Amino acid sequence: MLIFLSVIGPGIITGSVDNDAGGITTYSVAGANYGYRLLWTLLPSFIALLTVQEMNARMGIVTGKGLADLIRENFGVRITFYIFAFLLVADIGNTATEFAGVAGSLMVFNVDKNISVPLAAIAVWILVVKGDYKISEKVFLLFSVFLLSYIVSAILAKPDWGEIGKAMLKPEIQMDNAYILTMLGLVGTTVAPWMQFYMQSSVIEKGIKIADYKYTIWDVVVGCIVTVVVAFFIIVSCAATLHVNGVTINEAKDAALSLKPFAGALAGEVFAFGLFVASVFSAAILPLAASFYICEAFGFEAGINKKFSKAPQFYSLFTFIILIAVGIILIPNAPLIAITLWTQVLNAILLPVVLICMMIIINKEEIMGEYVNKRYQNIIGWATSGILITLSAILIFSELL
Amino acid sequence: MSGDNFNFIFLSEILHLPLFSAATGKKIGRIVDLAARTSHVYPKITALIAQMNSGSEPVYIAWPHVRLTVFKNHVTVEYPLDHDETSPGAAESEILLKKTFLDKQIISTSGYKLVRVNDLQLLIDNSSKDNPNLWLVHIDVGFKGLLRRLGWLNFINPVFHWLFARDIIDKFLTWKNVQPTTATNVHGSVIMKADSSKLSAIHPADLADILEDLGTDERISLLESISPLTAAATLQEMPMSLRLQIAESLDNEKLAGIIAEMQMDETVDFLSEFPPEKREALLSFLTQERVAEIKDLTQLSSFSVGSIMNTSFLTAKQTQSVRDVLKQVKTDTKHAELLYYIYIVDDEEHLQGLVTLRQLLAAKGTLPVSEIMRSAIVSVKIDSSIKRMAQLFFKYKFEAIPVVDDDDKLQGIITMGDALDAVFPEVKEAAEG
Repeated sequence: MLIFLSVIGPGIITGSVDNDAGGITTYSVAGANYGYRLLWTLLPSFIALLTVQEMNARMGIVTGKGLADLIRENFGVRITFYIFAFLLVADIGNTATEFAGVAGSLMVFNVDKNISVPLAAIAVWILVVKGDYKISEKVFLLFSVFLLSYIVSAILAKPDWGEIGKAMLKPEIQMDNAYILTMLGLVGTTVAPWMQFYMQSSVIEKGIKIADYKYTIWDVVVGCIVTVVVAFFIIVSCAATLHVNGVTINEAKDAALSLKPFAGALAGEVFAFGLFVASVFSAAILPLAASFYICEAFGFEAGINKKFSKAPQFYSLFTFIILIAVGIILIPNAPLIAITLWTQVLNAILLPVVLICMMIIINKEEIMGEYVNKRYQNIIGWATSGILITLSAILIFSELL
Repeated sequence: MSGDNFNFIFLSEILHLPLFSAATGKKIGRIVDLAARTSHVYPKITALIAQMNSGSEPVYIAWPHVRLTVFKNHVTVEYPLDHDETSPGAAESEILLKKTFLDKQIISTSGYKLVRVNDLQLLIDNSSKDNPNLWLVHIDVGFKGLLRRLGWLNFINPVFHWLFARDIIDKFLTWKNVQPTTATNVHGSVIMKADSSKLSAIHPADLADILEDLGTDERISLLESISPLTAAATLQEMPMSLRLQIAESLDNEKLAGIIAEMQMDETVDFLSEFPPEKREALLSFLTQERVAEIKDLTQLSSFSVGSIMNTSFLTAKQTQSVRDVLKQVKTDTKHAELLYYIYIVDDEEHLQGLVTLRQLLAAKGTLPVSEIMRSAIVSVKIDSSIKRMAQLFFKYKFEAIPVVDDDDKLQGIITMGDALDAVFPEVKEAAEG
């Protein structure tokens, strides 16, 4: 147990950041529009997430190198550069979505976005630039606990548990376009490309021994469970109130506002609070993660524990991403929906590339030694990759046409 | 690149060049890597590694077989090689430039940090008559090298020049100031121990920072190549979790060699993090004085009685008669460390009590020993500290204390003599010396 506590963190934090503003929006919309009918997708999402995250943890522990390092060393500078160019753009888009989440959630408490967004940005900047990793990690773990507030929100919504059980066990799959798109969105928001880089780097930052790998797996498992459990309760709380009453929504903030008349002001406020925490949390992690792998891949000094003057590119990049993201949100009438859409498309393009790189690297014996994928791991790994790649292709295709 | 800089060429400009046959003038393959010998001040290029149109494995073409080099265009070689001619084969010390350097991390020994290699700059030495020699002189770690690799330099540099009225600056490290983290030789997957003489100038604290940022394999290969003394000083600068991570990948002998050079208190802290078997294995590589010194520092706190207990002792069953036990003591005289105490156990070796030799001699031979044994006896757990054990000796003045496991099964004994050795090793040493 003591060892588990010492390796805990990377999996749980990554899993929690996964339920960011974009994720909460996707889950709320799915719940409001389709009730419990899409709950079943959480199971395959869980398996996909677990498979991918486990491989990252293993690669990190065995090689001691970040995914960015490994991709650069094995596939050369070109592919690395384009992956990271795309990743940076997607990351700015994602971060903007997070600040939109901050703005939206605090609007429920009547705080103007021109106040809330800059304040949140400054808080995040100080935490990362002035704080050290150990403190930040504890703050982040605390955030993860707050995400459980969605369970409260869902229980206050008094869902029909019998119906939930039925929907989970006997999924009805619709074949219309909107249903399939929402389904893709659900799976896509669960496995995002930046997570693989973040997961691997934070395992290394932890300095976990190969002998303790078996405990790390549990960290990954718990992280994945947190992800799907939170997702589950968000869908349930929206399904039990909004869907039943025929309310449709476009944003997570709408969900918080619409919950109020049906489940009481408290349910709406708890929901908004969860959204706020998730958004701030991800607004810190996403730009941080991006700065990390870009510096790693191109040989600049990186690390939260270094001074600004020691790692200028790292901190400049971090600041730059936050500034642009905040700028986008504060522009009046910013095209938020278009930004979200294009971010999703970029992620969908990146995911297959990253997954294929990962599968190739993890099967190289000169890199992984005895820890290369076993046969069953390859079967699960390639099947997961195949499904995610197909889903990504469908998503790109349908959104671009 | 302007024409006056003719004497330099980048590795990225040589890789992928087509290879022509000197005999037929036809294209026969392309260059995939260069081999170099590092024994000179600057590494000298010794061979081309080429992927031939025929055959799947890359081939080694020694530099003397290169006939004509039109850099940035093509290279003409004598191939297939004439085997009658004595051709210099690939030597162990030749490293592959692309595989060792390109996109890999190296240590800048002047800046004390890790940098990623974007390109290599080679010097073309035209002084010899027939075929120019190539030397590796600079490591390109700059943005310009990155752009060149991406194929954007010819586009971005003019734009930059137009904007700022100067070229993008090259950022080079000279060969003298870099240290590869691993080196792949011409036999492919073999990872040589890197020559680490340049690292000696780096302070262990800086070296520790560098090692922390390296991957597992590179870390181990570097640690194995530097002297145990430097390695020890470097390890001491690292957080414990990282030290253990590194220890996991080193073999015991190598690790013990490093530990032998560490400061005493660090050694003790470090050793106390290992499981007992690993610790014993490591201690077996150290000199006796060193081990004694380590034990001296550790036993009172972290070393457990299990490590000093004696496993040959006398036992008897409760049901045995006094005469029976006495007979047994006679036969066991040779093996047992201590004859005075006979421990009484049940069928599962659980400690029940003890009888002294004096009691046995005084009692009637037909009595079962359970009648005369003392049943409330003091014992220590196998994992209790030596300090605790020493306290018991001081308190009760026993000849020996039995050691039991968590199940109360008898595992061994500690005699007064063992205890004395463990608590005052320096006295023992003085007495023995």
